[in-house]
Amino acid sequence: MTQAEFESFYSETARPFWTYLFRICGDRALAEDLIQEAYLRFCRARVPASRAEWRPFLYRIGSNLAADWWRHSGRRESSLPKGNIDSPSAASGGEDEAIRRRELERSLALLQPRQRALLWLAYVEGRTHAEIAGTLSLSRASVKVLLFRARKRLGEILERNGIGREVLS
Amino acid sequence: MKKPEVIEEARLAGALSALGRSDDGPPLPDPAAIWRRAQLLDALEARRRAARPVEAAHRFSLALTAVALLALAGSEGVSLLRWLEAASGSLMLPLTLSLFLLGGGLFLAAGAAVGRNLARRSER
Repeated sequence: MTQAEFESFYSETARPFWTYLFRICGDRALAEDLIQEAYLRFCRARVPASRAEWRPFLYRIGSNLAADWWRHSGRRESSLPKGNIDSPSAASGGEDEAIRRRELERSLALLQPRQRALLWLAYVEGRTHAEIAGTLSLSRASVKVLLFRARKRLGEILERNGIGREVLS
Repeated sequence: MKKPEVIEEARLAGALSALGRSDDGPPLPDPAAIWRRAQLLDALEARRRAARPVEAAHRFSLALTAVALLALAGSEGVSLLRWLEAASGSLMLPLTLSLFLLGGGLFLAAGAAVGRNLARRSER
């Protein structure tokens, strides 16, 4: 991999990758640290020959780093994402939308990091079950089951908080 | 109590994507800086790898010298004692002992310096 190839790959992936890390760990500063470390490891690792495999490879590094952080931080319950909820962009879509977004963030924060990663990869990044399995070091069969459980759990949290599915409309 | 249903995939995808679009995010790190840092770390790692056999040889030679000195002292110990007895009346004994202590001290100091240097290099 040359520097030009890396920089081109970086410009394609950095922003969605940052969002993914931020949504898993819920901490803006930590997401910045993780993204730097992940790209650094990516540069130093023996990257796959096919460029199509670079992205899953990078996401695997990022997911492992986030999982390490989660294990070592000793946290059991997630906190709300820090530093984003009241940002101008959050309020720009109207008050209702800002509230809906806020409630969804609250509910997501109550999921396990792996559940958040699963939902994000499947429904925002549009990854296939095989790709998710590779990224999160799971079997394909597990991905299907865990995704179902994550959706179910999110539904339960939304119902429990009295928000219901309106938040998703 | 009504059991909550599993959320429909399409609705969830829409809501999560909207959430993702709202994430402005901070300015991202410079990719050129990340690349340079990776190259630097790789170069340091390569240097460390290359120095490993030299460091091992250093340690080995130090250990070998110590063993040789011990063996020499063991084999020549008896004749040395005899010589000491003969030389006890003259100035030769304190002079020899001083030189011996000085040499031993220098040897130990050199060993400690090499060890410290190796430890510092492996830390880097």
